[in-house]
Amino acid sequence: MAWWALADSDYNVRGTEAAVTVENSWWAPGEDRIFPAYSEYENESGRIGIINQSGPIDTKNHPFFKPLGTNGRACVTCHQPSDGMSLSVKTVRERWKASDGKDPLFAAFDGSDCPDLPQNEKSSHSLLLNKGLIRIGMPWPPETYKPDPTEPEFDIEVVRDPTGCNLSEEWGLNSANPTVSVYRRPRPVLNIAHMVELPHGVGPHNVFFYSDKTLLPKDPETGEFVQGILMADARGLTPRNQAKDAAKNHLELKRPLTEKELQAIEEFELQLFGAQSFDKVGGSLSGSSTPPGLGPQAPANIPRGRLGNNPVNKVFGDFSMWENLDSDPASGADEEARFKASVARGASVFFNRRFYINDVGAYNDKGLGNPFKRSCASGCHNTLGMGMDMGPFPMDLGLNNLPWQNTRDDLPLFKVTCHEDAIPQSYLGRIIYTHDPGRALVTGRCRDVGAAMTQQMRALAARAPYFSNGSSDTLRELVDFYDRRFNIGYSEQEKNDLVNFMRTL
Amino acid sequence: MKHIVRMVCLALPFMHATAWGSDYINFITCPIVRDVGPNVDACFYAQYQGETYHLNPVGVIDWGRPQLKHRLLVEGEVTDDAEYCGGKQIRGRITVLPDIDLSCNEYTPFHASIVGKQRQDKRADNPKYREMFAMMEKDPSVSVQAVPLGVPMESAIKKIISSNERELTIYFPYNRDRIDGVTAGALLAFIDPEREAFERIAIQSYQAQTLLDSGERLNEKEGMAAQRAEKLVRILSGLGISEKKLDVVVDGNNINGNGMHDWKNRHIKLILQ
Repeated sequence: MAWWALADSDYNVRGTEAAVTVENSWWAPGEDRIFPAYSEYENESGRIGIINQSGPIDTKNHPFFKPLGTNGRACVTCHQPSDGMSLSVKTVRERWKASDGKDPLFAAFDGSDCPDLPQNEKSSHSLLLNKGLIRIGMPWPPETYKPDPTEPEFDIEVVRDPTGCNLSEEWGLNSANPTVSVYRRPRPVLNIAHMVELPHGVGPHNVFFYSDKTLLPKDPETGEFVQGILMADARGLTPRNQAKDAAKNHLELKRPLTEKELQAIEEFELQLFGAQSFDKVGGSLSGSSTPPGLGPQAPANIPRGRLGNNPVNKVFGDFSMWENLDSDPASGADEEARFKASVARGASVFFNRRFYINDVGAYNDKGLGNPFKRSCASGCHNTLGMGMDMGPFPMDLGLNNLPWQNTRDDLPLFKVTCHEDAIPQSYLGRIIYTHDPGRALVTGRCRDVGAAMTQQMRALAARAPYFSNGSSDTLRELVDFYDRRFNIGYSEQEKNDLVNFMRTL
Repeated sequence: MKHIVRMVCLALPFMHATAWGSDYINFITCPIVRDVGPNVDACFYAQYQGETYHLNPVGVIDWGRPQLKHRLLVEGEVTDDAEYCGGKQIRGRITVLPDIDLSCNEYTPFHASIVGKQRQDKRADNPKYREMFAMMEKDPSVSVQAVPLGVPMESAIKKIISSNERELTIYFPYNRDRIDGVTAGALLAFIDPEREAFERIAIQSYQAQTLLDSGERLNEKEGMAAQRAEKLVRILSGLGISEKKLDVVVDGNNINGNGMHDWKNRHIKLILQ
């Protein structure tokens, strides 16, 4: 029997462990618990399933679960299984309530709006509590960017600083260690094996960036080309690289991770797969009566590094078995059938519905034209089974600046002034007001201002809010943003269908 | 006769060059986007001296399609190919100018008289791909299996490589160091030692001037040829070729333009030795 036709129960019988629906869904650092081979966690839409492919592990001394640094956190603190190995605002608020704000999650260094704020006050952690945002302190000027080292092409000023961190004498841009504080969502440490696979069949872009035809970055340890799409600004090139960055900047570990620790973290991350396994309305998302792109086994089995925007793959596979389940009102289609039909329509809108994509910095100017006409799937969400961008490069969707996003009072506002001899950001020019300069804080290039990496689309139901800056609290808000941003004109039904489709991924 | 030649030379900058039976056009314009059907990508055109021109030069892939909010340098030769996008086709190059120009913001809505071509899905030519498509109805899991891979732009790359097996010329947009996707593919094939053995690579980098029909001369910025060469050296070195094997010659003078394929002067020549 093909893997996609196995029901949950088949899978569990086949595995060494029975399915475990974890009731105490919070994984605290250093707990003496077994992380099962397969576990499920409740969320508002149903349940997410996590496959720990190598089998159960004792988490007590595992470096992903162990508090390694000085603030009591472990990797798992911000990468919770119940939240698709990311962190939802719902979970953040529950932790605040359960710990009276004392959980290591709220560490002053990055779990508060700024370390020099009074840490006992809830308001000092407002960005984490309201939008699930972690403070990222980026050195200014950027550390040398390879392979194309360059002096920063722009100057940066703080226009507004609601958190106080960018003007802080100790932590800010004018401190002894000049730092730009931006606030971003933790990305899911799930299905990482897909994220590190170099693209197949899109040469020369298995070697070259699509955008400027510089070479892809190389893993500093192996010298091999890598995608570098793990983090919002593409600075963490590999799981090991990202783990080193996170250990220093989020766990406040004062020593380098040991080789043994790095290896254990990397091995764990590369064998972890997951997706929504059950929908409260649609029922089980596994088995022969379910489209093969759904369920946690799908990301574990789908080939990696493949372009999926073709009529066979349709990125997340064929949904036709759920089409028209509600076609005959007289047959009294039940709520489940109507939901499944809606999911199938959503998959079709995702793959087929074309619209003009315009003014996306570091994207339309890749050579694609401004505007050009694509669907969600044929445009930026094209990787088979995962939905991130196969022609990797961060892009500026407009989430951090006018005119596409309303100014946010909770985030710092920067003025970026690009030098006269720099190539300007293609659609924002040389003077840019932004809440997050994005990739440009790594490369120092004006054209990269605002750019962030497209995310995978798995486990969405478990990890609200969405986008790197948490600007959409719900999937509906996310769809509404795209609808406004690209003037698509989705109907109410199309919007609902897209939301239903995405919540099953 | 001498008098006539001089007259032609004087007139050249101010009109379409008609020498050797060709029409050369060199101008800066705002591109206009045209909707050519619901399932077809939009196309770009410009009106220039009473004529309409399609702005994706024939045979050029991934050079950098036009962008609204940006002016465009067009350097081309008008072809006899069938019109597209409601305009004559050109052979040559376009360069998107980097600074924003908000006046370049014109959309032309769809009109049934100008319909675009559907992009051809060449995967359908592959029997294995057709077989998978046919199997999907019986076995939906086929839809999440890997489809056969084609080599993108294979024929275009082969054409470049086969034209001169030991030399490769890389052309550049005006004032930019970005190579296009086909050339990037050709570069990978060109330096494959299994194709052609080599000990060293000579790299000759140039920058150039463009003569517009208006008579204006656009000079590439100082250091452009060096910038291109440096980027190429970084690429070759990143691909495993020792810098010691690269003999780089940079000509930093702008080659004079004459309005006929001036874009060809903006190039790097690689010679396997």
